[in-house]
Amino acid sequence: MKVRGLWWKILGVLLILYSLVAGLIIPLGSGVIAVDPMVARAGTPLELTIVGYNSHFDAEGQRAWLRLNANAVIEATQLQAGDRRHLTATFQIPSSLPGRDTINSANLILYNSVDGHSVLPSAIVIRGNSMEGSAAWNADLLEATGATGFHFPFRNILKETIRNTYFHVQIWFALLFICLISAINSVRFLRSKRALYDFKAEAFAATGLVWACMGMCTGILWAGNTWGSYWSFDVKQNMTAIAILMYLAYFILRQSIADKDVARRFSAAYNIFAFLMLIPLLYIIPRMTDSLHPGSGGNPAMGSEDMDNRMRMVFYPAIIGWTLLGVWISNVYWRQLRLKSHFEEEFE
Amino acid sequence: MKQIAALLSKDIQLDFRQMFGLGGIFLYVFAAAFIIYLSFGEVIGKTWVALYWIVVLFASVNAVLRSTTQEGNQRRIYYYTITDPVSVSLAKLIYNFLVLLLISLLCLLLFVVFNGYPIISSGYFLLGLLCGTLGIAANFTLISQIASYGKNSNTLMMVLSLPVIIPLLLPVIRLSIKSLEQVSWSQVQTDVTLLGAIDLLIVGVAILLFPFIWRS
Repeated sequence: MKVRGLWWKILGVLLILYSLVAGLIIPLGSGVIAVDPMVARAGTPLELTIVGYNSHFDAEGQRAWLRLNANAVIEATQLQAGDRRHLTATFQIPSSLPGRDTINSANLILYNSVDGHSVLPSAIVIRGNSMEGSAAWNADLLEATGATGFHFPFRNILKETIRNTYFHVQIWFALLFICLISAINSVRFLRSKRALYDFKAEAFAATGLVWACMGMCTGILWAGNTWGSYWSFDVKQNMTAIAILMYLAYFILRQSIADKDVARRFSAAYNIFAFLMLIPLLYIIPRMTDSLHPGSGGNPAMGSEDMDNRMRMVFYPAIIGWTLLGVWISNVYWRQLRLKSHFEEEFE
Repeated sequence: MKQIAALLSKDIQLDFRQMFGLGGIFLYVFAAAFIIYLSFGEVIGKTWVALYWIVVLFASVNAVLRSTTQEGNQRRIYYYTITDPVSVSLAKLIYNFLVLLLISLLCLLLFVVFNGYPIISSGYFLLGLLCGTLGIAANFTLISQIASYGKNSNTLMMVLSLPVIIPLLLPVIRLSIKSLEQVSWSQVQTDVTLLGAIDLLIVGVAILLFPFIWRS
């Protein structure tokens, strides 16, 4: 990649700074962390203590609902806000439940004029008796309206770690571009036999390896905080480990052959092969097996479940910024490799 | 076409004259199957599939590396002057594919004799075996050319080939595990298409890149 001028380096740094600052200081939207009690009986009044996060329960127009399914909703009869984060809601749970099940899990839905809607799925278990009937479950939800203010979405297990999207997810996108540049330079080397392209391929592969390690480290931290263990033998984690092995093998190959021309040609061929194997490894196979990652085993990825437009405003600049930084680092590194090679030839 | 046939028949004739080469690999497969029998007795389910593919994989590494390293440098230069690299690569690929197919079928026979046969959907298993050996053959044909250049070609071969073989091996093993039960086409469709696509990719890349490596 030959890009003239300084503008793209400045752009890259600015985009990274923007993604760091915006990604870390923009607050999360409101959500519900905990409720107490977690079990209720049909036909009895329920006094529910709700603990919120970044919420404004003392704001105007606070309402609360319990929802069993799309057609079965009841509204709280009485609400008392302790402070911004604490709320006590009283529900009169009807003695009849819409379904035949004796154990029903209900979602808690809250609304006020500042926070908009916030939801805690499966917040409470309602034990029913054998009475059936949905007549009492007839409250209406408010139409979905956005919150005021600029927030990232609150997701129940992720919570604040949703910000890792700008560090973990983007780096895999940036890595793909950097490894692609490395493979293209290998192709150009095989076609032209100019050592310059081999220096570039090696430098970009080295940066790609560093990026892969960073992606793996951020992923391990994220997994430890959300999935419960740092390495859960998730298919993507395993495939990543293999991809890193592949690029390590590339560098071992470079070292293990003494004849420079041969080493360059072989490693270029291996680099192309490795990049083509990287695509099924990271992007196809994980989608076909069960995985904890989004985008595999039926989980959505990059859809409205994971990201909203506010996150995209930080996410896409982060990809571009880290890709540009990778290109910059690689450019410095291949110049160093070229200089080293010149000196070695002079001394020989 | 003629060149490919000539090179292929040369390789096969060479094997008939030096039986110890391939014989050694067959003996390796036999020993492995026998050791598995002695230590496990009857093997069932996933373990059978895993052990089978491990034995086939390591036997293939040795077989392909042997067929690559047995040609000295002078002979390679001689081929280089009289043939074009694409036909050499195709001949090598077909030869390696035949050898690997032989090895995997022999291994299957030995496993059936010693360790039982837990596969129910044999058709899909054999399809996976065919695609798997083709991909392994193409992959190893390329990598063994790289690895055979240096001195410690065995280590280098392992280091270079095992990471890049995994994208192929995983769908193969998945298909094999699925064929442990009665399955219909719709259940294995994605695996088979993925396998076919990866096979095509590997074979194409191997044939494209082979000339650049072979020139040394």
